[in-house]
Amino acid sequence: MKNIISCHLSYLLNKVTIITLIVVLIMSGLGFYYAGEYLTNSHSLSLANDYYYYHSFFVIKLLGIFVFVFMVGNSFLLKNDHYSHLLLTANISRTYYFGSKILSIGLLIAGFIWIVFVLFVIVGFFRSHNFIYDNNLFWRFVNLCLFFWYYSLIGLIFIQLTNNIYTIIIPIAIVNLITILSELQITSVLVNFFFISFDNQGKYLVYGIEHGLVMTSLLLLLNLIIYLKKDL
Amino acid sequence: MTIIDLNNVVKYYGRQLVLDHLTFSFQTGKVYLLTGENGTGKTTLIKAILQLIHLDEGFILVKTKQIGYVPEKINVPEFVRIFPFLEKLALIKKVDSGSVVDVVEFYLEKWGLLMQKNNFVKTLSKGMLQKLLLIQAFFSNPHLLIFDEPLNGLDETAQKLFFREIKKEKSYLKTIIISTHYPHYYQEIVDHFLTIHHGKLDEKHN
Repeated sequence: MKNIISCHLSYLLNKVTIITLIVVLIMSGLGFYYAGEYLTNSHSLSLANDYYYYHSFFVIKLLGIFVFVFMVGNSFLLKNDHYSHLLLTANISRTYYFGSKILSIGLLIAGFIWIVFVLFVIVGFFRSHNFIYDNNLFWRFVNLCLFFWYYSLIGLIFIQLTNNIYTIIIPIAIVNLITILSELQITSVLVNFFFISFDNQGKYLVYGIEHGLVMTSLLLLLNLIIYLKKDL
Repeated sequence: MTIIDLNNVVKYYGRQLVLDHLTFSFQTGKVYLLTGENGTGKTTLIKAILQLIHLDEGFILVKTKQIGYVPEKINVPEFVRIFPFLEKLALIKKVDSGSVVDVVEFYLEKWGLLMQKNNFVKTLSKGMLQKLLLIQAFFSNPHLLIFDEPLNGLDETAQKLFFREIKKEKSYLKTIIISTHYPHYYQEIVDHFLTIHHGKLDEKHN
């Protein structure tokens, strides 16, 4: 498994991906820095920290969804997945190949979110002594990670069916629509059930991490079925 | 002995019939040359044998899982050097003759790539990349070798080496399938000429 994951990562970490991730990291850092203004100006510590989190979260959610939906989709375009021919003819099953590739991308996303989280904490401490580190912050970033995965997997369905990178617009549009509906407080139970989103304060997924995990697993399964059925 | 059995194989792309009820058996120790005009289904047939595509009708029985394959085109990683790339593939393919490092170095030397082993794969010329693909196909000692335009970009020395290797593999009773638009290059080594035309397979013996 280690060798296959290493092989996938060598393909995933191409020039475009690395530059994009670095740019997003710099932009996130800048976003956190400016959001840190709330930490220095407020009289209430709790409110200051909430504002810092809320605005930082807005930045990373906006940037992250583009990056991860693109990265997952792009890696499964037929022209970028050609190397599968070498591995699938080496007595490796499609399920194993797909699973190991998803795991590799998952490691990359988790690693990136971890760096963003550390950056968020460092910028917080750097900006003001008002910043309070709370263990819940970490769990909010785990929720975010799942959120990115969910919409990346929705994008992957369209990529697999059409082999067209422009279809990643669909999950990004859904996220924006859900966010707007959520802000206007006109989302329904059904919408929130099928399209996971964050609560009004942007801290946790509306129906919890368990719901997110179940829905993500279902999408993974659906993507696997499509991968098993399609021509490579 | 039969190594691949095609049984009434049918494949459509949309409404276009690409493989039309193909039935054929590939034997061990033989070299097959697959020819045909553009878009007649050579690569489709190869992909069907490798189970990379699904059939609309019929089935294909491949009696070995040890397959070496050289595709016509492949995407390569940007930041990986030749040696680690091949080493990784060798480990995935479970190369078992001696240590993986020795095997990879042996093949790199044989194909004249040892000096470039620390170069990035992405920087390789067309011919060198083709050599790399040939190495990964040969080094796992497969029972079945499938090549899609194997001479693509190869210089004369590498072409001669390729033919020598094919003769050697044939003497070990390996089955070899070569897809090409240039059959005259392969006259010496081929046992069976297969031509795909309108989805049907015509066979001629050499």
